[in-house]
Amino acid sequence: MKLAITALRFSLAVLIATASARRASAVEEPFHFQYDIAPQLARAGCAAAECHGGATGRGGFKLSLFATNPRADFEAITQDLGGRRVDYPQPELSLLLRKPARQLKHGGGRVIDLDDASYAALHRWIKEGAPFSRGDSGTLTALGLARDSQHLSVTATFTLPGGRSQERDVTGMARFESTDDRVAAVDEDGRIEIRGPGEAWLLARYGGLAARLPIINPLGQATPDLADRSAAENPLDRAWLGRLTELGLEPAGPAPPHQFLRRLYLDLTGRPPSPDEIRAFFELPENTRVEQTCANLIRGAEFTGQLARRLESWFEVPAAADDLKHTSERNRRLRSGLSEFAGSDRSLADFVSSIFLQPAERGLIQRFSDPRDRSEFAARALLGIKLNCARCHNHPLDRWSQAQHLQFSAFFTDQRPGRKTGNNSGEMTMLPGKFFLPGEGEAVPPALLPVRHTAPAPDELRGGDDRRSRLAQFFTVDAGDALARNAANRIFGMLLGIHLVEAPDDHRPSNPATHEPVLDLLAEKLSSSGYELRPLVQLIATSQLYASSSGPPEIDGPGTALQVQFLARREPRPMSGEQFQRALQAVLGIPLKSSEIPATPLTQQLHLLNSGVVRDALRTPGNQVDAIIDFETDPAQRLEQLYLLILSRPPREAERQAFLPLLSDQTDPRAAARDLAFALIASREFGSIR
Amino acid sequence: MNEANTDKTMSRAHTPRTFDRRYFLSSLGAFPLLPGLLSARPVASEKSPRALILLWMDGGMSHLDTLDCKPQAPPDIRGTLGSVRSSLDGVFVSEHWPRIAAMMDQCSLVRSITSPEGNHDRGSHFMLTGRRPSQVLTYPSVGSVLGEAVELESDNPIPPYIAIPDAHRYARQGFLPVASAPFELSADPSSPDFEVKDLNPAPAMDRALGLLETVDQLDGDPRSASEVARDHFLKQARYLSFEPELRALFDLKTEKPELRQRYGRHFFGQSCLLARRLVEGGVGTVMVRYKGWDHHRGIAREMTYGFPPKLPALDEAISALYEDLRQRELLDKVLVVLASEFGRTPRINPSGGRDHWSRASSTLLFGAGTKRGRVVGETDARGEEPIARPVSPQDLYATILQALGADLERKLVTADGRPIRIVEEGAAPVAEILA
Repeated sequence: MKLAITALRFSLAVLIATASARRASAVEEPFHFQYDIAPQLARAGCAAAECHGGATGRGGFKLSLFATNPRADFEAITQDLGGRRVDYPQPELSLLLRKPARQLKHGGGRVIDLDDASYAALHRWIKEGAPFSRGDSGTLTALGLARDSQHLSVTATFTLPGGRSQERDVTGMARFESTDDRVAAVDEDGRIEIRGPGEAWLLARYGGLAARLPIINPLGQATPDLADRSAAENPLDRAWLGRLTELGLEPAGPAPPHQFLRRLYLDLTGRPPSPDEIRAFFELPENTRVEQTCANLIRGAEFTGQLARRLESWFEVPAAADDLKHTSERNRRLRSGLSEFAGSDRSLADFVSSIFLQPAERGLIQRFSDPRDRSEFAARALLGIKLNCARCHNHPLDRWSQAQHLQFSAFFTDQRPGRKTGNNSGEMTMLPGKFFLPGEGEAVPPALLPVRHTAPAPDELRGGDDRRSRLAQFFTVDAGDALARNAANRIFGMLLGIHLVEAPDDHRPSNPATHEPVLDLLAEKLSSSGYELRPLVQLIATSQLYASSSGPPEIDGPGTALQVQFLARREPRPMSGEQFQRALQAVLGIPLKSSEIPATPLTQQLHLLNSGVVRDALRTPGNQVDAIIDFETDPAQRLEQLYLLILSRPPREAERQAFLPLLSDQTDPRAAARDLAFALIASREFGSIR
Repeated sequence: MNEANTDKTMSRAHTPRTFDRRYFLSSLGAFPLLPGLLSARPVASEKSPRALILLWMDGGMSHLDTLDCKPQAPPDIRGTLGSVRSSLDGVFVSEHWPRIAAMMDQCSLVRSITSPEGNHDRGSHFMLTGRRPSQVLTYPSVGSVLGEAVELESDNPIPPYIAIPDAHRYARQGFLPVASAPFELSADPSSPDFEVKDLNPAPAMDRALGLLETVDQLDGDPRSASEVARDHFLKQARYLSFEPELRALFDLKTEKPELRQRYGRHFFGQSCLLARRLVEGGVGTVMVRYKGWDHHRGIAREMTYGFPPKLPALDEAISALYEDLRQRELLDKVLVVLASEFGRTPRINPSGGRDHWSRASSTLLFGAGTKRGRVVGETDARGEEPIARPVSPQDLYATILQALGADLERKLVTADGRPIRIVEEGAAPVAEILA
């Protein structure tokens, strides 16, 4: 009897204990692998590309890259290897804990300590039976990053069932990085260390989202004061000068006028200015000459040519010289279409629509047969977004998942024939295409990319039968300001030789613009003025930013590199072989026999020195150097003309002294002038856009 | 990534190329045409790194008719070309390779190269860069990787990587700066009027070139990394054009006619000879690209007829190269690799040829960093697949780099600051042949 009562008491005790335990878990927080465990793995580095997140994993354990695929990771941990990675009754014996704590041999070394919060979290999870989820954690909808002196804090916003939103501090589970360790570094706990002058963006990643925060450490140079900044007429300059003030950088000041003019002509027409054009420029009133000259050049056919070439590169159509035989005809048509657009005043938005709606421009998309190639091209060229990483895994740096990539690609399938129309004409109705992956029975459901950060309603994303119109609308309207930012960035790069977002097809949170306010301004100008490209070119070309000096500073120092980085000072750019050829042709005023343009810098120099292309050009009847010799007898004048013709500026005193004797020599003045012309053409200055 | 190269000169995160004016102030001025300049950098010197001669058979050289012959296989596998025992036990080579057969015990042979890439471009990319082609990046080839460390040294006028006659699309610099690009000779060394394209100065240019120097001097210092690079390449171009010792490197007429004959009076023979001269003169990598190995039809005829017949041409030239390097005591300084993008189908096709076959192929190596008389791997009786010790192209690539003394942990940096290892993660050099 006593035994029976003890047994009863014992089992009652157990019952009560388990009941209270169950009650306790009912009050516990909801749990989801994606938000509570996966981030621990990403943070500890387990899911990095060099470790288990790599293509083949490590030591037979494969996680998704940066733990962005919770389902797969959950299975790998709890089910693979016969479930031996987790030990439910004795969690501390789990491989998942023993290996990273280096209690067992681990190629990755000791990644967590026994007293780490992450160890405790994983331990508790395994002890609770390693559930994938419990209750409803809600969905992560936003991530916020804030700075409190030297510490970062990360706040995740969840939308709970019922629509309520909840904020949680996830600082301990986020991954941190800096875009520039030389300026500011951040450790794994979110502690900031300021290291040098400049700007760095700190990023926090959690649960598939990223948040960022700029850190500016001003250099301390003399910056433009408020009066100067507001006095700048060009809104681009106001934004730019504001940034330089923030960064503590001094603008380098304007380039010398002759150098500026050469740069302007090379950028807008592809050739240096002629002596007549130089003269005309300096005869205009000083305060409007830049504006007037820009406006004239932008209206001209030569600018159309420059723009067309830039569009070819932007839309990935090979230039005529680089064309392979089997694609020639198609590419010729595409080039012709781009050229037509460049010469018109059509809005870019209109052009982008026609890429989906008009047969001619549709070739830009249709030349790819795989829908994934098409979607990637469209995202790259139109929105400046690199989707291709998401082919193989959830995009490691941006928010596109593999599923989203596939669903977006499904939008780009060719139509398939449906029923006959029934009017005996033999016509078929066309249905939207289906995208099948090899081995899959079901077609991938098409869905547009959620480019704007707020998640759109599902119906908005589904295309109807008219996919093309839907895509046209997506790229010009639904994608928010992505098209404008991408286009503005590319036009900026066309003129400055460097983009605000570099590479131009790689806009993402962890790749901010050199000057976000400047890009914002340019994008806004473009979209609010009907997406016309020429007014944007005028705005940039007439700015102080564009006209900045690229000369060496008086006192060189660490500030110079920062000035260049933040466009307070410009840097000379090399001419490509093609540009050089065009410049030479324009300067000498005669067509050059189109020879193969050497591809590498060494072969370019050899070609310049030895191929005789320049020498022969100087001997061709009617060339401009001969014209100078014929019409100008005074050696000093000849010198002046040669410099104006070739280097677009008058000679300096030292140059006069060096070369006047040569040109004054009576033995063979023509040969002397030709030799000097050769030297000026082959010079460092000629081949550089300063 | 497709923008014209003018707008990619400087990237924000492009730290390694930040312009450092102080460094280059010292290297400007008049060009000293130093006599005996090259004797400071012959490949045989203590300080000089090892050199690579890559003999690239463009098109996919059949392994069954060259290095991995199967005399016991049925006729529709072994083909109509015969084979002979080589000095390496168990290895049969082409009957048209008597000299190579005799020297096989001085080489290392890898018979079990295997890869899934049976397309010319993809297969070549894999072999030449050690990586499968990627949508994300264009990878640099071995010559550019080796040459990258040599860039912009002001006292080193010779290009570190030379291609004869030109460089395969995937034998280029990839994401590395264009300074690491191969210098293409664009000419056939066996031609009687062989001249490297644009290497010979035009007549009566002395004054013009002197004026050019003055113009640049008066311009002051270069103002950007691109201007520094231009100055460097101009200097290099002038050296190549005018410095007698450098120009002499390309002048095969200074070689004894008997030696030229021994190599073979054809493109491949004279290119091998030129390659030897170039590595002696301090060039880090020479790639000889011998085209025309894509023998889908009539393979027996393709390999044994023509001007010159291909197999005998290889026998001549490769054995000559070996003997020449040995006599000059350069075998411990120069690595020679005979390779191709893949092998060819064991079964002869209805057109009497063989098609692409990447499951098995062979590579021959001798010289610096490698052992003699080693055979790695074996294919089955039909030459279809490795039955022992499969070696992937990335393993081979790592082997070549290690043999040349490169640090396999080294990382290169792309234009947007991404570090990339010089060999793929997981590439395992073939230790059996490394000295």
